[in-house]
Amino acid sequence: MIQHSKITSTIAVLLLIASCTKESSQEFNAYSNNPLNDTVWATSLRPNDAANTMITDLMPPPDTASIDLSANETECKPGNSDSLKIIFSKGIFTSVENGVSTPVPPTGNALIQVIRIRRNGDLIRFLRPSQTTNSALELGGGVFIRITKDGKELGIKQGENIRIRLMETDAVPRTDMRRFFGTETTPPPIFNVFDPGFLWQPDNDNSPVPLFFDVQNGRNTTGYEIRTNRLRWVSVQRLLNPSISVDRSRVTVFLTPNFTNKTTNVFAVIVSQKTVVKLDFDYNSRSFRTDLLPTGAQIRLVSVSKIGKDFYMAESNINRLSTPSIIKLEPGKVSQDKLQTFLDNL
Amino acid sequence: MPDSQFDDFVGKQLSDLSAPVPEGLWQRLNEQQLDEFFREKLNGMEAKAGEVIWQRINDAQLDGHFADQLINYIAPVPANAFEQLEDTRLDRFMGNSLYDLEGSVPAGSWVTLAGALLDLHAGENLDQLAKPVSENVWNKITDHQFDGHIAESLFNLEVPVAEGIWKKVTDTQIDDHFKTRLTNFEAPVSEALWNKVKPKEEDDDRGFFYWIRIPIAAAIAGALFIGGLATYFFYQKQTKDLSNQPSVVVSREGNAGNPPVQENKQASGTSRSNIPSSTSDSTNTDSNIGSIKIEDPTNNPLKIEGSKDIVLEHNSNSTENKVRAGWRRRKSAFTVSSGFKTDAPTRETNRSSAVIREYAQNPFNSESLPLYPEKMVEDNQYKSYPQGSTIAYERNTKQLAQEGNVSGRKAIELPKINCPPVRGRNKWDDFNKDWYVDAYLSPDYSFKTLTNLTASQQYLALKDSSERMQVGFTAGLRLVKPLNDHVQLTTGLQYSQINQRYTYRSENEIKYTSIITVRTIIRSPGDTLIVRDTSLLQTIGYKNNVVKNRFRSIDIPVLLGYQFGRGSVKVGINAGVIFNVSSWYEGVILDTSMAVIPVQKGSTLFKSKLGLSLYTGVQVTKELSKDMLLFVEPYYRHSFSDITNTGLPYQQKFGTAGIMMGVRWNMNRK
Repeated sequence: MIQHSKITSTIAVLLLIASCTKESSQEFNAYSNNPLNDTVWATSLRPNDAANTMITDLMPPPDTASIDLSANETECKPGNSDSLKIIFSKGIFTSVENGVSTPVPPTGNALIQVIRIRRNGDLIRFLRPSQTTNSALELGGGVFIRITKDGKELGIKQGENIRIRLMETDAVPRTDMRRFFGTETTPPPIFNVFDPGFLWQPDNDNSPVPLFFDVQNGRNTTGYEIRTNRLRWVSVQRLLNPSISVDRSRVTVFLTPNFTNKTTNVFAVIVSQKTVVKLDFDYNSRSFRTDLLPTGAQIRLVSVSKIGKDFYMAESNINRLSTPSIIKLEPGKVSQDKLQTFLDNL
Repeated sequence: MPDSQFDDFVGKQLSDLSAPVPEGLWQRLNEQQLDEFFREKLNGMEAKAGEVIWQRINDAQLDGHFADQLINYIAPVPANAFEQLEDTRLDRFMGNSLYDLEGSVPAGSWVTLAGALLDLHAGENLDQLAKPVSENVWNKITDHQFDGHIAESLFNLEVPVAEGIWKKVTDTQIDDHFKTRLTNFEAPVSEALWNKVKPKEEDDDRGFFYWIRIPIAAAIAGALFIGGLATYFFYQKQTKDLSNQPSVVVSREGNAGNPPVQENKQASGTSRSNIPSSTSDSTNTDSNIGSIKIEDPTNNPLKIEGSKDIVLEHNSNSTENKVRAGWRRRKSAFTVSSGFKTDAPTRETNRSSAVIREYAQNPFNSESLPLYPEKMVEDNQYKSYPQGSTIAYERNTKQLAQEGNVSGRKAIELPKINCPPVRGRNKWDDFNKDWYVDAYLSPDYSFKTLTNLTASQQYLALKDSSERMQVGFTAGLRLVKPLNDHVQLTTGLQYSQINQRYTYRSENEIKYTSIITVRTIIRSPGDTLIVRDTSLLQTIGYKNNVVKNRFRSIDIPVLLGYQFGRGSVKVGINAGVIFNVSSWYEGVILDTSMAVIPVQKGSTLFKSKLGLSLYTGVQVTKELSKDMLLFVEPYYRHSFSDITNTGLPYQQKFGTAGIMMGVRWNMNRK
């Protein structure tokens, strides 16, 4: 009887086990072409890498206006904002084809496109950090102006000028600002495309940018008035540390392995002023770094990545830069709207 | 002149003559000739060896010479030489040399011999010698030796019992003798008997509860446990009944010196004819060495089997009483034909044999009769030891049962004899009064039936490709009531689980992997730092998910069965309805947007009560024992009700086929 019981119970348990298959399973298969799975760094970036193309997503559309080229003097307010005025006279424009001005002046109406550079976030969005080759810059204000006639971009004749009045309400204009223009590759690309040849360069006129004073709606206002014969990237900036004798300290940033130089840009923002430095990637150490940040500054490190269609962002602070710092950033996915809001408030 | 005369002449005349050997003669003699000459001439010659010669002879050569020359030489022993010999050397020499020598023993030598040496010598040499034993020899023979001799010599010897011996032995003495022998006697019950009385303990214990360690089998183990409980109560009842039946009881009250009077008083107080004359069924017949058989005047024999085969037969009709006594040397077991058996130590055998010897010397002196039981107990303090003998039981001896019900005595329980039921004449007696409990388990396979309400063809196709039925199971307990030999009614409680495999693919799943990166970072010229970092690597991909959908239900089957067949294997059919008590669903389903959503227990998308199902099955039973049988029952269950509510774009119900396998216990078998 004992034997029978054992046999019976054994059969029963075997049947139970046979009837109970695996509860559930999840077999994971990685996508072969998904950029998130690409953890390989590039020795040199291509224009179509996400780190470069994110500008297209982040840059806002320009303010546009139509101007009459036949008028004696035109005061243009793109975006209908009183904080920006572009004033030009009749007959100062010329058509530019392949970098060469044509002898026939354009007439009629032209289209003006304006993008303002007002905040640190704008410097990040446009991938035009406030830096020169060897120095960081402090931005007073800036603007991208593009005038086209019949689809062709116009230039300013030699010896002619336009006046640009920039007024920033969030900061008192400084008197030590200089004119800086963005050098670009030739022919220049569309504004919302990364230009590897872009660099802020001081104008030949090294004199301080004069301030203008005006009364608008019964209020006294002041701002920068820039006289220039250049269009496109025009700004009012000053060298933050014009001499290398100024103490600087290297800041190195590395990220989690999913974020490579192909997908990520890292910026250092000096708190309380409009200074953004883009960190260069170091292929060997798979990291980003810059040597342009002055010691003693409070730094916010911001990474913006685009993997596929998703944006990732991370930030970290250095309260007082004193010694070479190595910072790890762990970006998280963020919506584009939240990223824009973050950049607006940066 | 013959050569010999010439040689003698020359030998005498020239024996001392020394003459030089002519030149060249030595060279003509070879060594062999010279050796031959000296061997012939000098053999047997004795001459004094010079000092130089002795020094040239080594010890081995000298020993070899004496060994050859003096091996059989007999020479007188010099004076004082014996005193210089050690005793052991002399003994060893005598042992080797005089072993077979026969000679007369000098006067006074016997006195110097130790008694033990003499015994040993006599035992080896005089075993077969028949001679009158002198008085001194008797004194030197120990009791043990004498007993052994008597045991061998008088085995099966029968001599008449002297007149008057029986008259001196009173009834109470006889009774006390047996009472003393059997008091405190405990006999082990044989293994086979215990197996019959307690069939589900010990070995069965571990094997049965082993499966409880497996959670899945807990339900089945529980079912089996309930069955075991039923079996336990069944045997408890059986044991209780058995304990009320008569049994032979002995106890340990009193001692050998004071034989208990009150014990078995009813038995001993009555005539010995009340003692059953059952025969011994000892499992070890070798231990039944001899027997003592006593017959009282009413011709009711009382037979005792023990180490001493002593049979006292007293016949009032016969004027000649006989004593038959016998011994065997090795065994001393003492058994009583009523089923008890005792061991008497060997020492006691010696004592009793001594008494017999005394009886042999004076057979008509009843005072020295060794069989007087009280004396034996008092003197020898016999102890009883269990020997594994079984105790036969006279089931129908009511009187003995009453005798056995003495408090403090161990009841000896015996297996019941299962008699076939006696059929009565009325209809109620024909009604089968048995109850059975089934514990069963069934692997099931279910078939789904789908009715489309509002689902698209794409939805149905995706659902169909995602779902695959798998083996489920049913387990339960049910009560079986046979109405007669063929018809039986069944009901119980069962749990069923229908398993369904649901496979789907989920996209953009993130998998996190922890990795360690090592970077060499130049913080400043000349300042290099190696940074080790543990990070989570995200990998994006898709998952092939396999989820098990479960449709569970608790049901009450109500079945009517018909069974036919003879012997241990029977075949029957069962059919009836199954009432659903509760049902629920757990798993995932497709929503109308083709997304996979989980469904938890209690969801209103599925019904909680399914109503009725039809059941039919074919049952084959195999009897394992009188109380248990194994059954296999292939079945099909058809559900009338859908399991889905109206919230889903389809309706679905199941039909289930399975093979039920289980164990059936008889609950009231007697």
